[in-house]
Amino acid sequence: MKISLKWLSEFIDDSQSLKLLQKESKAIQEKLPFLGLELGSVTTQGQGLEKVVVAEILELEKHPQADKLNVCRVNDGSSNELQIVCGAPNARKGMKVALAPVGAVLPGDFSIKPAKIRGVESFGMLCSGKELGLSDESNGILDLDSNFKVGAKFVDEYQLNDEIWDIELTPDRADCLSHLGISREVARLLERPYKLPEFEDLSSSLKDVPLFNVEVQAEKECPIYGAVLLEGAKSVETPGWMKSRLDSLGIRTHNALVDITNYTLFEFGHPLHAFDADKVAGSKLIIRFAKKNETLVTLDEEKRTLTEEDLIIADSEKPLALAGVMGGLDSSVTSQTTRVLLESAYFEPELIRKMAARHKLHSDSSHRFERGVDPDNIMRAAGRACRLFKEITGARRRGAMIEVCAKSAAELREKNILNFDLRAFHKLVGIEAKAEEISRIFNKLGLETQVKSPNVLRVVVPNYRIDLLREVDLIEEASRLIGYDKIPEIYPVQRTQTFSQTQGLQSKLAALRERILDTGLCEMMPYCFVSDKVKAKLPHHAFVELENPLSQEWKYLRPNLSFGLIDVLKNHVAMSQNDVEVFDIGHTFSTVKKSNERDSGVEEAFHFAWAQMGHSYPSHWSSDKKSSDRKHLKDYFDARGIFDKLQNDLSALEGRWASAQFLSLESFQSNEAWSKVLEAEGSWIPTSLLHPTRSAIIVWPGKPPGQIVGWIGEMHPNEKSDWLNMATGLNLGVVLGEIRFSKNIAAEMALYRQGKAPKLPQPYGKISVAGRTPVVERDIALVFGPQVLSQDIELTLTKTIGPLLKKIQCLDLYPMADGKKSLAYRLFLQDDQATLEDKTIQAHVKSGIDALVSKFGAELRS
Amino acid sequence: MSNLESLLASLQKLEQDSQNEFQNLASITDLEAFRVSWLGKKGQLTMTLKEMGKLTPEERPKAGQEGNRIRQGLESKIAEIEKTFSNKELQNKIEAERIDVTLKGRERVSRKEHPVRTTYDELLRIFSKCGFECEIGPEVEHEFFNFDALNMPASHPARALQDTFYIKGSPDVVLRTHTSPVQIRTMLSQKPPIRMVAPGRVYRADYDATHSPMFHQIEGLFIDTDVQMGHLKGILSVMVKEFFKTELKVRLRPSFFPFTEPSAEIDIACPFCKGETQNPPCKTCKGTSWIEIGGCGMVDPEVFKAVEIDPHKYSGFAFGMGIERMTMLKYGVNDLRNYYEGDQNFISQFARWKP
Repeated sequence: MKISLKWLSEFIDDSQSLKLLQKESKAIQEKLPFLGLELGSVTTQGQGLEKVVVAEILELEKHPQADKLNVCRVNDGSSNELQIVCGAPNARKGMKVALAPVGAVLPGDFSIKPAKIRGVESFGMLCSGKELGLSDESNGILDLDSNFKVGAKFVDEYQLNDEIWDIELTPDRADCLSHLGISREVARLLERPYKLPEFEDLSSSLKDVPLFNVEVQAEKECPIYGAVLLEGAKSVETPGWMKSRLDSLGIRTHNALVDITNYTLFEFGHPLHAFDADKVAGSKLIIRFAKKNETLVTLDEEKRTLTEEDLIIADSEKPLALAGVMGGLDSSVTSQTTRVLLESAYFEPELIRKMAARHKLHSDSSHRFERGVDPDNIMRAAGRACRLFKEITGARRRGAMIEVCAKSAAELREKNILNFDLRAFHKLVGIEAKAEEISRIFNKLGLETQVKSPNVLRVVVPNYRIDLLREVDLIEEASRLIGYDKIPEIYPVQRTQTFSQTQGLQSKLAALRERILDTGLCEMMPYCFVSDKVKAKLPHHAFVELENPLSQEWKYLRPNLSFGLIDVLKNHVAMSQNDVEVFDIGHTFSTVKKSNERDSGVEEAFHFAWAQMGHSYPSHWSSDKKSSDRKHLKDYFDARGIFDKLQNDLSALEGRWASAQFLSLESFQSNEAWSKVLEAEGSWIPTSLLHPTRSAIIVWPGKPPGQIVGWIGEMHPNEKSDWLNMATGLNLGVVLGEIRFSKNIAAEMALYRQGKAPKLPQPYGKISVAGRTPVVERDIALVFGPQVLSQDIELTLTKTIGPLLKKIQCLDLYPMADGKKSLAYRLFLQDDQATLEDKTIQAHVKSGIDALVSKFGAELRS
Repeated sequence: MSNLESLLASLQKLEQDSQNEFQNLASITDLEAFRVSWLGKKGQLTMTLKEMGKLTPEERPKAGQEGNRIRQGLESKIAEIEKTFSNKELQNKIEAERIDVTLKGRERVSRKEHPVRTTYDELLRIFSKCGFECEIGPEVEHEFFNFDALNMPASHPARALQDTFYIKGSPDVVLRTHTSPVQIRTMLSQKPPIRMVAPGRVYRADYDATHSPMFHQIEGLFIDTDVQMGHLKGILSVMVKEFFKTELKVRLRPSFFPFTEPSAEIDIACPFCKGETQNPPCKTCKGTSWIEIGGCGMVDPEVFKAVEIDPHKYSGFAFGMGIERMTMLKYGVNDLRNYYEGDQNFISQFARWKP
């Protein structure tokens, strides 16, 4: 809400109110926040124009070198005449102008210096409105009033001395959405009464036959509707003082009739609407709900299709206005209008909010009606407008206001007598106060009080404070006026022992994140929104679409985390940072059926994902020059390394991660049944983005193919340039992985809240004693058929050799000419109890080899 | 000349010769050759001493003593030279191994955690020290949890202020605009006393340097039979002191939230200028000395009604803060977009400040 200090002064009952306000402005500004009125900004008009003076052009002649320039001799009120070169077409002899002398700095940091323009010296500038920051465009220099005093300060003569306060109001303070409302608060600070502007009394019972009727068909939604007819409006310009005031608040001016209703709105905070009476068919205004598919072109020239929930003002034929929100274009007043039908009414806040939202139409009118207007202003605001109509346009009122009231203004207030209990105040806020003190405070607010007992006050709330409905509202008023700084600061003693219901889940997720951070991946937080391009990549995913996305790029909630990370990689490629390792952790979204009426119908899973790009090993001067390590690009095994590290940790959080297995993406894509499973369970997996022979799906074992829990893979060579915007020829390894840690996080939260959370495995169940026995390494090398998978070989070894086998490392993979492959493994054996004897080692290793030979037909390499 | 004399004479010559030869030894290889040629099985000393067989038993000890003396002399001399040589060799090796100690080491990976998450964890740690338990909730919420139960019925203008993202096809489902729905979920499933914080991601349809459509909040709720606004002040000032590791004044400024009454904005003394006048004015607080970090208040009786807690029996306070805001104030990074647009180098700077 913008407030003009000059305008505000008219509401303060003091003969020197403007001077008083100007003097106290700073002090008031500092106090406003503690009345619950946040001051956004203060603009002083004419700032930066202090040096600009009124001057007169004494003489002007054409510039000898330039047709469009004039050389002026200017009187700035001092004894010296100035020579100024000016290019304005409207410059003329005897004109009073705004002169920015040498040394002035105009808005936009434009400093005026002596200049030589095409060989002619110039000392200062004659200014246009635009150059002074007064208007957005200019048609030459300002042509000032000939009565202005030469040499006087421009801001004084032009009366650019107003101060504009931009007050950021919270939604409860509907009473402050006007100059009148703010004046009540400011008057209290100045300890002066406030006063209303002059208005006509519309209730006087003149004996005119009403020329119009009003019929209200929706009494609940429109409990009071008033209309008054004015005739004989002359087509006049909006007077300058009104125009400049509306201008200063940033309100666009139209014609006198519209401007008067707007002006009244900002005075009283009560929206009015003016119909052109000659454009209203019949002699009756009907307030009714629209019929389905009725249309109305509103003032903003939008054709709107109405619904049966839209309250409208109609004549006998058609809708005229969207009640409380915006008028219709056809029935609006114009500069030709002579007969005005002025509306002043009360509409239900909830109705207006819904209508404004439905039509995405937020007007100064709807803004006030949806917060609630003071019913006492219905008559006053209309009366004020009538007075201004008469003064400015000469329009005369035909009779009293026709008022249709289902409820009286007083009845619209549900409850305005409240009790205030000092004990309750003390208990909630911690301030001890006496009844007299509270009484004094409330009286200043315009609340009447009566001490009922030493601890209880009876409080009568005025109609404009529609936000004060309960005792607790009064407690807030009392505490903010006493000052929140008077509330004692007490550290609460811990009397209560609560336990968190979702703590277990929260700490599980936090632990997971800690483990990921250990890998050295860099944590990222890309936005959770994705585009149609992403959607096209996951045709089987039930995307969650936003009703009101910020942009087309951000239409859907993310189905997975990978696309966000791909964006991160792309940003790095753009910055030529090619070695990148990042991760993200958080919720992903899919649409599901609602399970109950308060269910969101959106399933949130908890994922973590990572992306790696660039080289596998950091370059170091000491590394072997011949080694391929130096140039080795990131591949599947970099991503796999991350997972292998995490798998161990994950299984500590949830036992079944220990049994996670890898199935090649190919194996899914070449199997019809399996690819169906992938589409359904892994709809979030961007398979078409992955290298088909160098990617894996991670599953928990079960009915084949098992339960899909994640994937890792290299990015498909064809997709890199598109998604990462990689320059052709730039060869970078890009690998990604993503794990679904929890399929339905909300369901899991619910389990925790119900105390049915799954038990975590005993964290310290199997810890072997610090090793006093040596670890033995044995290498084995065998030749296998091309189809045999390393995962199965390792599983067989683990099972056969048993607990003595602590670790297996694949040392070498060597393809043979016949298609077979030679694999070498290093086995790490250790007995926790005793040093292993050679024959025990031999026997165990042999049992492993025998198992491989019999199970896979492997041949031992000599 | 007797056999003895001639043997002693050749031993003497031999000693003399060997002494002379020592001068010519230049390396450990030379030394080894020397050792073999004098002391080896077929070495000169060994061969010479073989002639002792020709001596009489009486003569032998004398020659033997002399032979041993020479042998020991040679051996100790060899050991001495060997030591010199190996010292020299070691010296050479060390000399050859000299490095430029200013070259960088082999890279190790370090933690690279997001500063917003660092703040998130830090605030959780502080509140947990104050006895608050952590609760979490979903990010997509039914309006009931996000608005209705928080005393923001459909008609409430405060709803319009929140720039809410709605889900297409479900007009009553929103991306949560604050972490307050977790309060509702907690109060619905747990009876007072309650002392909880709820951190998490929230969404608003607004995007510029100071507004992100996605950000994080932490919410606190404390309900018991006689909780008062002074307790709220107490907790907030402990939190601020712990978080900024310095004493910063906390100020409550009147405001309005539908779910609290009385309501206040939380201001803290500007951590950058500490409220001292600066010229030009402090950029962070714009010379006001105060910075807003969140909102708070006493739980509105309407909220208690919605979750079936008796407002006559219980009272409570609630507060909410922007985690990004706190992060900005701690590290001085003011453009929010830095946190989301993803630059590895930007994030890598923060881990070192982790408390």
